[in-house]
Amino acid sequence: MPEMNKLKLLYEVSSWEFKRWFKIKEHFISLLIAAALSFLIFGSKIVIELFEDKNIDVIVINSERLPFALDPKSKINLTFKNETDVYTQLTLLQKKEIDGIIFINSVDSIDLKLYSDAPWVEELRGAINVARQNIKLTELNISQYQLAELFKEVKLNLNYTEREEHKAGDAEVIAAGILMGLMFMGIFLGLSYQFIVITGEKQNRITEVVISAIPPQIWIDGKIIGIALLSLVSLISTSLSFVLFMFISDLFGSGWTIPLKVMEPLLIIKLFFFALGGFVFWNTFFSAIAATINDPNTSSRNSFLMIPTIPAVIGFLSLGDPNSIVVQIFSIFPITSSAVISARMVLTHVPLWEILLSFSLLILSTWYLRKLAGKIFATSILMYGKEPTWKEIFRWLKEKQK
Amino acid sequence: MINNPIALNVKSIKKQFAIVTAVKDLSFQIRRGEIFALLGPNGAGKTTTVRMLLDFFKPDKGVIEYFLSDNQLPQKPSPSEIGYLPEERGLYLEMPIIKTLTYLGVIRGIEKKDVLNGVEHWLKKLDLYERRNEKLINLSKGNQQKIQFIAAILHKPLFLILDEPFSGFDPINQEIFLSLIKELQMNGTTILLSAHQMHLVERVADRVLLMNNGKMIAYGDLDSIRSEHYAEEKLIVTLNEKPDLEILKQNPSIKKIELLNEAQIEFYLKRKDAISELLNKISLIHTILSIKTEQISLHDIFIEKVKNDKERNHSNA
Repeated sequence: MPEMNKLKLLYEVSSWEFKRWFKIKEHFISLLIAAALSFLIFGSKIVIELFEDKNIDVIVINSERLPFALDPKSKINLTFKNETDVYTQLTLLQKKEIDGIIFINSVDSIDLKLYSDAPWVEELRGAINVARQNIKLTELNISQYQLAELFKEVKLNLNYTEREEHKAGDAEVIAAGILMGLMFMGIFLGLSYQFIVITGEKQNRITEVVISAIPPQIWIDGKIIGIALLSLVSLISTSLSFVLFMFISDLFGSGWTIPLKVMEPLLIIKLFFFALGGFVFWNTFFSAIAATINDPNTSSRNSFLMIPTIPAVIGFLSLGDPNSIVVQIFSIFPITSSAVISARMVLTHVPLWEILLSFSLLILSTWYLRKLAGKIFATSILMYGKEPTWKEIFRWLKEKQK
Repeated sequence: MINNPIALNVKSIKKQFAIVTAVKDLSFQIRRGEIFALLGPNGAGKTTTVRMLLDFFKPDKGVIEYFLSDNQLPQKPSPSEIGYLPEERGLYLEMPIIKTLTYLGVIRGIEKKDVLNGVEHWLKKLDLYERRNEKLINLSKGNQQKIQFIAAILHKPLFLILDEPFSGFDPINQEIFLSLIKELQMNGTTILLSAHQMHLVERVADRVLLMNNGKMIAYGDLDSIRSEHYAEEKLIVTLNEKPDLEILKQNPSIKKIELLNEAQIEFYLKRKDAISELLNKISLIHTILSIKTEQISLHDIFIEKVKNDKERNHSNA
């Protein structure tokens, strides 16, 4: 078959495998759900606060023993009364006409009467503490400046001998964790599609029709590319959902922002290629396994589904120290590289040679894995009934080589 | 047909799986434009043969050569030249009919617009055009079979392999498919038919190959198989009483006698012209109530051949 025809055929098969499962409507719905969730969570907080916008009336008895003041914007109204008014005020509290009564016994002993726990107590506690602290400072003859000096932290200047390391902030660690989570979501998504597609085709007896028209290697290549693209689209769509969620939450003043580093175009491009490479690698692996499975409900080979948890665990462990030697090795080793190096690129500076080496090894190992997968696929795809043992598969592979 | 150039030449092919020899030293030729039937009981090696013809796997020994173009040298057929309806039917049930057929046509290397024209033609012909955008799962089993048949032929293959094309069809649809197969032959398609509905096969097949236990037990056109390997005519006679079969068997023109019931006998005759002579002899002994003649069916030949082959294998063992 001429090369151009092979490429055209590969395009047709990949496109078919992609379109069979790609539902644009569902991606839009997931974006809308993310937007709606963010709106509901953060918008409702504001709505609740609006509905709770009533003043709190608190009576202070013996205020002269510990004078304190609240922020002018506070919703708590303080009314100062004498001890003689206590009975009247308690009656008002019982009728819920006021919200609380503060009895200042001394600077160190204060009683607060209220009908149930309330969020405004904390604001009151803060104001009283400040007032008490000022009284105590005066008693001990300590100025505010002296107090500040006492609690001031030492300034430790870090000077690196090699180069200045970029220290990942909490937001970057969270972003790297989310990125890895998304990568594994894409890998497991590809895994489930490959198993559904291949075992379903075997069970629905489609294989003979297709194999009579196209070579098995092109069929499996098309499946790998189509489903890897599907995983990538899911990753992009879920990432956009996250971004939308964060953006809307920020509009409502959540203070949640995406670290600027993650938004760098060059980093996004690198992450894109490693995600695609990783998805192709894992889809190649899964397609070979799926071709040997007859019935996914009973096959012992379902345990292969657990294999991607190995890079997942290693990937998340690398978040702690992205520059350790072990993590550097894992970021080059093809089974773990796509996830680990992506996380490292968010967390720290990764030299270009490491990125290039890691990507080259990923492509090279995928190429050879694809050839092996193609042979296993071609041998196993037409086997119905009894599931072939590994011994049988390798024997047939050897026979095929002849 | 006999003078048509060869489309497929199979020479001494053999295929073994572990300790089972599925196909043993099988040779045959299929000529361009003919309908060739591959017949045999379950496990005879038909599917293994078909799979080797489709290059799903190679024979351990022997040669398979296609001559589908005018080139004198054998050439591996391209996917667009071969059509295949497998015995194990299956399609993308969750996909719309038109998309599935278009995909299956395009991957055989046919231009999309030609595929769409073919899809439209065949869907209209089989009364399924109105349902073209429905998912396959919504169709009845019979209609799904029709779609599978369209998938095998819409790219106008030169060589068509139909494995059990009549299974799953009611008698009306079986008749429709017989006429479709004939129509395809008229348009120049060479057809290899593997089926077990002998009465249908003998209505369309130009030549047959009977297989049992992986090897050929009969091969050629139907008339020559009938005359060379078996009887020519079947005569069913109803008498007024139970006959003595031993006396009747002495007639040299009789190949085999079977007592169908108390007074009805089935004679397998070596020659057609022996009928009057036989009836004369019977009438001397018994009163004949009715007679009926039938051509020896492929089914009869098939059963007899398989039985003989089994007996031969037992005696060899």
